[in-house]
Amino acid sequence: METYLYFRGVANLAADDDGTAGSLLMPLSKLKGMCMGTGAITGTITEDEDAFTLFFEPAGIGAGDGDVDAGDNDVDAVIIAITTDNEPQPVMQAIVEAINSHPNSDGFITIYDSVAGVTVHSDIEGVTTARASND
Amino acid sequence: MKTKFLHLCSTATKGANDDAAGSVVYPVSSIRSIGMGSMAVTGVISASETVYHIALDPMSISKGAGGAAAVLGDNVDVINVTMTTANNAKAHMQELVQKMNSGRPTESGWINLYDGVNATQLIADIASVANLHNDNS
Repeated sequence: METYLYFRGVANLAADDDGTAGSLLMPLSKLKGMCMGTGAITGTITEDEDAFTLFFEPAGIGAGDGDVDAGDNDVDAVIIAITTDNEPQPVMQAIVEAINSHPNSDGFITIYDSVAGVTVHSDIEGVTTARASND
Repeated sequence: MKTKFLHLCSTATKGANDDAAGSVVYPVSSIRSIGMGSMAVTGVISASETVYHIALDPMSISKGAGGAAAVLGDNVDVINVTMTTANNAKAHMQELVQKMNSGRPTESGWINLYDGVNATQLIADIASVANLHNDNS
């Protein structure tokens, strides 16, 4: 069974309509890692005391050998904003624990949902996403 | 079977925990190999009696990387681990593998390899770690 990670960072339900902070569901198997700082789709990390980034295999780029360009190497990024500066470890650990905490669940794990008020850790204060595409 | 993740934080200064030299987490499944010597992102290994490397699938480059930046796309991420005891890598490797394969139900899947800020580590003989993080630019 595949586990999926759910993210939503919009202000209200009506704003849940795009790829910036709207509902996003990513397969756990596509998670490539987490890194302190704000990540771009190119993988560049910008120093940030109160955010870290989850990198995923890109959903919007196929595996074909089409019109190749540097952008084919891009990844998807989910940026987690945290309240406490320079202390991502407890939040990162909470994400790992959530991934492993319910072996008999339906595989749907809400990491952060601003609309429903659900989070795996109280220090998360927001989620934004940066999505790679084949343009 | 739990999905295991490896955490490291190279810096010892909390205020510097704000980029790839700070907290980084890799799925254990990203490990390509562990070997003696210090490795560069290009895979070149330099001899060292006190350093071993953990080569990983790059966190920030797509697996399908076939773009124009082909050289970058072939690079890997690396964790270079410095040991206090020279030539002691086999003991580290065994302890790490035991932790990665441990099936204890009380474990969460979080493996703290090294955290310089909180002065915690999986193996007492680890003196420091360095993370070489690739990007696609």
